[in-house]
Amino acid sequence: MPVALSTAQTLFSIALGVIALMITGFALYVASSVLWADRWFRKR
Amino acid sequence: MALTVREQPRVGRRPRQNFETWAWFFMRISGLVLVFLALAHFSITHLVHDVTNTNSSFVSDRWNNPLWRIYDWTLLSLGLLHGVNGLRMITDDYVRAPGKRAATKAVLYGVTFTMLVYGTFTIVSFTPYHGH
Amino acid sequence: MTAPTESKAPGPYGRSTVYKGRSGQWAFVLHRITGFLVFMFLLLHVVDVSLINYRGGHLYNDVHALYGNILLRLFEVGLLFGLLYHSLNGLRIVMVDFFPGAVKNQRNLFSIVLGLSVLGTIIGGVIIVKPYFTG
Repeated sequence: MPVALSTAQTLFSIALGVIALMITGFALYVASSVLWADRWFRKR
Repeated sequence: MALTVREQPRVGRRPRQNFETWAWFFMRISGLVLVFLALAHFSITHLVHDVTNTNSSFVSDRWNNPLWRIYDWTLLSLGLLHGVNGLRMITDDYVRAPGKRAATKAVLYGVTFTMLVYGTFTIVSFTPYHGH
Repeated sequence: MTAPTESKAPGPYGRSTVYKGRSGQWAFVLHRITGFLVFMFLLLHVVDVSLINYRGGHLYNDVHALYGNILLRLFEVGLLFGLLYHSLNGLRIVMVDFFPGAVKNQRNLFSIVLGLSVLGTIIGGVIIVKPYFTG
């Protein structure tokens, strides 16, 4: 790492990382839902 | 299997309009406006100008003109409202336990409202830098 | 809309999806994901723009200095795809809502939406990433 990050930059990067993880997680959840999302109202 | 008068469907009676009716229209109208506002905003800030040049002076020059402030505020509020309604529907679909769903919505509305207030404050209270 | 035996037959999805909606369900799924993406970004964006009011713009510029790096440029390209797809698919939805006859063509419209989104992302992506290499 050539230059150290300032505090604000570090916080921003962490926030961006968290958001990226949330989006990825949500994307996997929704995309997979086409396989199982009928569990809330399946006719048994 | 004849139905009594009460059980027969009331043809010709318009179903009651409720929040969802209004929300349906809002998503489409706000969506149409947002297509223009958001894509133009992205073009200006990332395509026409390189992101390394959109520094505080760039913003200051833009917000010197109140029309840009109105534009940006419209984009902010419509975007947040359109988005929060979308997330409301997502929450209804995926968070099924009533307690968790209410809590999720509470957080969602709280965060959205806070950002709306804070964003408005940012746009309204900014004073342009002199000498630019 | 689809044959009743499809859930048992091997298809493009292997164990078939429960809704059997084919392209329509992916259009919906992608619409949700991109909507979520843009909204989450917007929350962060309100905060990073708000920095302009602190320390005469220096704090804003400090954080802004990160944007030129390649990772953030790539994020921007992803954001562009999200915006483009969500907008274009949204237009497709409005079109079908207000011109119900259009639903006959909805699969074609979806292909157009996806195609334009990808095309726009590539073009925009080149514009966004190029300065990193050309300086």
